[in-house]
Amino acid sequence: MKKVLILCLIFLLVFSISACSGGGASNEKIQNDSKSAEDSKKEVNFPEKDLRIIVPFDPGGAVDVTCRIIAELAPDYLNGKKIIVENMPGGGAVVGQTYVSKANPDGYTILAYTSSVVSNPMTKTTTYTHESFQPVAMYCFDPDVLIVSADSKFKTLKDFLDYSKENEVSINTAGIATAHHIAGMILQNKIDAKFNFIHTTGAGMQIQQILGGHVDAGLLTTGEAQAQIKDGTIRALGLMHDERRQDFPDVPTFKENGVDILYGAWRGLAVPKDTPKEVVDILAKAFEGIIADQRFIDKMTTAGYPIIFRGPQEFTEYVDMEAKNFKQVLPLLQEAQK
Amino acid sequence: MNEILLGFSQIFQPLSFLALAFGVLIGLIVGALPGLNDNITLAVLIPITFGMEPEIALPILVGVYVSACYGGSIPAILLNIPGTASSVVTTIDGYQMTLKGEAGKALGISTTSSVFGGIFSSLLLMFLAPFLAKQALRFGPPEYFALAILGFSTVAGMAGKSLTKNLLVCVIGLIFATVGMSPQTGYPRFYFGIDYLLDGIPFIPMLIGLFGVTTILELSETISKEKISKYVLPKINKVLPDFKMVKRLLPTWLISGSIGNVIGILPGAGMIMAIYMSYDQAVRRNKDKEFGTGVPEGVAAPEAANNAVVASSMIPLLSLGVPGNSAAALFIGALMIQGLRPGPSLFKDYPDIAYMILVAFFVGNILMGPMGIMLGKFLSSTLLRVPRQVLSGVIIALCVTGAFAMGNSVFNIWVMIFFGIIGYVFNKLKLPHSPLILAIVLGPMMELNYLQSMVLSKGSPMIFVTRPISLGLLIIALFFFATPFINSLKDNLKRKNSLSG
Repeated sequence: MKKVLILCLIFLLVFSISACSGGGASNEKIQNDSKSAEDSKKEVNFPEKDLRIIVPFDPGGAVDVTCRIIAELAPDYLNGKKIIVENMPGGGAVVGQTYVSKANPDGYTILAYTSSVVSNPMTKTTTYTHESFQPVAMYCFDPDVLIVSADSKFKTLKDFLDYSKENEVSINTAGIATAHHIAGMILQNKIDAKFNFIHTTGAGMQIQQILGGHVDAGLLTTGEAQAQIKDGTIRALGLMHDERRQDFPDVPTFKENGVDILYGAWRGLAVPKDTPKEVVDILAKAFEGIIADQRFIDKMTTAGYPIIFRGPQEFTEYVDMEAKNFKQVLPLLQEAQK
Repeated sequence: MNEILLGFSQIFQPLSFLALAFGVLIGLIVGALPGLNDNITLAVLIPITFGMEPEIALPILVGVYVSACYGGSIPAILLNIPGTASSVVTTIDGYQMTLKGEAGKALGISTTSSVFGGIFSSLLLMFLAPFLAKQALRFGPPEYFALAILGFSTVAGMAGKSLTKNLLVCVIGLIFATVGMSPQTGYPRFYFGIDYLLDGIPFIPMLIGLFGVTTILELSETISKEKISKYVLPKINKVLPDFKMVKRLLPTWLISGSIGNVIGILPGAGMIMAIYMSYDQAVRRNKDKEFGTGVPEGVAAPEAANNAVVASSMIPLLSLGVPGNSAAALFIGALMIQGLRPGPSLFKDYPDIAYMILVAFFVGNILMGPMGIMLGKFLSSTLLRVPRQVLSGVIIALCVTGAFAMGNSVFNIWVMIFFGIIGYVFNKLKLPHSPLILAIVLGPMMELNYLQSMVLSKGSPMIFVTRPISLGLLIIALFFFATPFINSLKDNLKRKNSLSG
């Protein structure tokens, strides 16, 4: 009797699981149908149903929040069709990225496409590379900034650069092989310095270690440290950008100090590689519209996310360039992993 | 003081007050549902609050955050399933009280303890936040490492007579904790090619498995034994503890509340650490009582501690802009989207909103008491009267949904089942669950901070003993580890003396 009941329970469990995964399968089938329908008609009628943005991170972060701002405005630009934001965290974004790389290339499954799409395939075993995706639109570029505590001995970027050429400096990042770690390694190469990288779990821990004077400096995006920079508890030494930011006019760029480095977290949207060009163009046009929408600009500005627009062509070129940069520091990274 | 009054006048605006009460209710309900927790609720609510005024949006979120971990104690006590991770320890004595027919008493203790802990920490938040936040910054990687060791020392205290078993489970937990990428080198360990495991074993699905699934498996045994379910629920007449009980619990509340506050202020230390430490302290201070058999202090200690963590975890967020835990990190998102920057300037630029948040924690904790008792009474009188076969099905459905909802992945359900089986086997072997959870939570924290310390000190372990706070914590930890051994030595000596005498 007992065994029968346990068996029943196991059956119940397995049943509920297959019910969950079954949902996904039938969904794909629908997508297949719509794809064949598209093929038969040459004229592209897109979108005919709601779309999904897969965010490969937990809810509440910068990528999630910005995607939700886009989703909110989407119906006005996509024939009234909605965009549903779905979080698929895990494996440092590998889980969500893998999912979209295998999704139907029909434009209905969109990936929140960020720097990690370049680094993941090079540092982990993945079934995709950044070339498995067709970039559609970049909507945000948040340059990296080098920060120190307000009472640090480094008053200016020059102080820091001079000191670090002679001495070891500890720098914290949001984790190994993140964009910030890469930025640090590129900087290290350019100025011929030696950094001691401390890898944390994210910006919160970085700022805490810097405020407490446990670590000399940190690399993160401007957005992540803006509250402390504006409050004056943290000093921003240099921005890894071509020009100064309007909201931080006092923060100099590395370029002004003779170090040519452009690096930061970019946030964009991409679809699987084989998506028809017409569909990509429709999406790109819709996102361009959203990004120029005053409501989008207002929300992004209040939240402190700098807006940029790069279309499919420019975005692809940008990502290719980043991949090239990454490959240069890859041997260093592998060295560190030993 | 004027600013605090400003905060009160804001929170007692009808809409803000209603929003807060609504948030508290939502928090209680999701807390009480196994599988749903405050993080997932906040994450769902934050996008909804985009379009609201901050005077309405923020009280809702505060309400959810304040009450979710208390809501978690209701199923922990009534069903032995913690509704949230923060009630893991509450199950140990809480469920035993229910079995003894003291469910009402246990709920009352959990309520009063939670309200006490919550008010304690919201007062600190209102009056001492900037000072405390500065102190928290003294904690760097070596101090966090020492703190993790101190957390582990609670295993020795909780163990009682079965020290070997507890240590064994602890080691198993540490092995599970190594799954995923190494924090300093990024090398993937024991992930079997499964991407989902790169960040470590998903914690919430694991917890749902250990408690939810295990309990259902056990329940199914008793159902089949009894043939018909004749689970008579204890009548819940009197819930609130009398004056004598309050007097008895007051020291436990104060100590647990203090532990909760200290841990809450330290960004990243976490609620789990606080509930274990305070339970451990309760055990150490009440040597005459046998914990694990339904001792009121065993419910009071973790419940006072977890609610004390709630408001105090906002101290580093509001004073420094550094989130103390994942729920506080979600608050940053919520504040930013309203155009508010967390940090000292929040109090200068938007005093009405900033002080309203502080006061909302205080008022939310007070609201939580009566609302929680009502929910507890309702749940125990209706839901739990459902035949156990049906109840098991409902709980399993909730568990599966909850596990799936964490990251929309079927993989999490497999994790849940796996740990459900592990939990069941553990029960059969009479191995305790709690050291496993402690090790899985503290393992990564210990490892990360150890590695960071080593980078900072260029490989010298002296960094742990040359810094005063770290040294102090390690000495306390050593003392805690040693006490069971010293006690047994003492007992042996006594026995020898009495034999020879």
